[in-house]
Amino acid sequence: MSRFILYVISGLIGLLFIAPFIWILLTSLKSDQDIYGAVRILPQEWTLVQYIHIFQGSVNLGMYFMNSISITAVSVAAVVLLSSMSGYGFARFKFKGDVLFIGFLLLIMAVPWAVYLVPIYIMESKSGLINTKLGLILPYITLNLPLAILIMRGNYRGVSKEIEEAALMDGCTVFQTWYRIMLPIVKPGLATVFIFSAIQIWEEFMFARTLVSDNINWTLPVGITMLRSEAQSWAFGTLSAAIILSLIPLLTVFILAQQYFIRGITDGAIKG
Amino acid sequence: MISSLRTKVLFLGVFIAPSMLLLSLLMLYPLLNSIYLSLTEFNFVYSEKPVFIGLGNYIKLLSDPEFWNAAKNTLIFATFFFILLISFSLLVALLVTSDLRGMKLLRTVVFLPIIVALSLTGVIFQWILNFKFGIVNHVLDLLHLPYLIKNWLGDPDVALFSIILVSVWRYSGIVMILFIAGLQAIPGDLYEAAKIDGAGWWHRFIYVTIPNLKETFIVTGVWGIMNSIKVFEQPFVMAYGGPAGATTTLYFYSWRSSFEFYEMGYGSAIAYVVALLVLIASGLNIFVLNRDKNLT
Repeated sequence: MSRFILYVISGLIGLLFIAPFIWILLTSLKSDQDIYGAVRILPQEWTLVQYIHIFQGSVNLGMYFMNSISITAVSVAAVVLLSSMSGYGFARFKFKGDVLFIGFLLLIMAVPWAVYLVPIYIMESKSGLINTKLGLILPYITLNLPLAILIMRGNYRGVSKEIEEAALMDGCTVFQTWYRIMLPIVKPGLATVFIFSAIQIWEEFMFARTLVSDNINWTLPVGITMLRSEAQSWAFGTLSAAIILSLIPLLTVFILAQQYFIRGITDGAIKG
Repeated sequence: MISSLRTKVLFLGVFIAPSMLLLSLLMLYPLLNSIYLSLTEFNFVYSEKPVFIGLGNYIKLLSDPEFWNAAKNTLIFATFFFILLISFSLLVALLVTSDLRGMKLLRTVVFLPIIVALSLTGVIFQWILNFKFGIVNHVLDLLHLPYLIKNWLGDPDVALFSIILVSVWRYSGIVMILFIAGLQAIPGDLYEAAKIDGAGWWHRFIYVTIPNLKETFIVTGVWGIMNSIKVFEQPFVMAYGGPAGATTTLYFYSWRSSFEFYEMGYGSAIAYVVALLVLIASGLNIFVLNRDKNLT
């Protein structure tokens, strides 16, 4: 009997969590008359007209999509590369003040992002980086770098030193040892950093909304919310279709690598 | 091993310097610069350059009714969101780690909202909670519960709580994952021993599960506190701080001061208040739980 109640509770929770996805998917498959008539759960007539709007280019979603892709790709690549290098440096190299550096990284992570935004906005206004993709990519790299470095440092520290020593004995240079021996071993760490920063950057709103006012460089979250404000209440069909499309990249990664998602969360929360 | 001067220079220069250079320029400098800015009067549109006014902005905060309104909203949001987030996530984690069937599916479904950007969560729920065309009011109507039908985002008494529930939907999966990790780390023998001693489900939960989750409570607590106080996208997208300031939080008010009114100094001061609250609350959480651990 009590198991039955637990199943009912689980089912209700599951339903509550999946329902928003289903409702948005159903809305995206309705016509406008259907959406703004009497409320029905299922479409009266299933149609792809909302998706056709998007692909005909009546809204700039394709452009926002490509912006998000390119900004995320470049930023994530830089975060992975930089953290895989400096993480190794911090893990294997003792120098004066390295504890200070770690403290510095932790401090940066603890401070809310809004604190950095004003000075970065002023700096970028002065240097002409405002409204550019680079103006978003640079802060995205540095906002995600501290946690990435700490995750990579932890991963390198887990590798036994003998492996490296053997490689150095065999005549590998430090660079070769890092590239050929160490990087393949810390692949799970790289995957964690990759997914963690990809989610952060793909979903980021505050910096994207503030540093770019010109719609040519808007990312998906900004573009879609802006469309919503312009459209007020009539465009929820197209917006739903846009949201469904915007979920595809992360959904794909989610299905392919759920365990790295989970690792990213646990590592991220514990070290952050 | 790595000892020669050449390798040392190589390490510093090639492996560490690029990251540190970027971080100094785009994080450390802004961090220090915004402390200075918070001590100045600086309207980005009208002022030539920042004018130093000492603690003027912080004094102004104390007599600014909008600041106190935002502080009140942040406190309400943080309290309810934090309690709901932690208790609900723990409940789901307990279900997921139980021997019930199909719980992997439940875990995936509760975790899934992480793929939705917070800002888009706002758009989605604006539609779901729409007064006239939204599914929530429609379902309440179908269930013959008309007194529960609300203008979820348009009623000042309700809007903040709508935003709290939406945030729980968006964030529970993440905290659930942390609790699952914590629950799985508790040795099974402890439960066996408690069972032999005749402890029922509830007693095992109180005397075995809760005390052994202390580390997890620290992690989830700090995480929950940070995200309770830094609430921004939800009020921004779903109600733009309204109606009548009912969803204006400190973080949102800080952004608005800086980038709608261009009062960069004042906005920075509010941002530092948020930073301070996060640090104090997280520190308190760690302190309280660690002190408890030393006692037991």
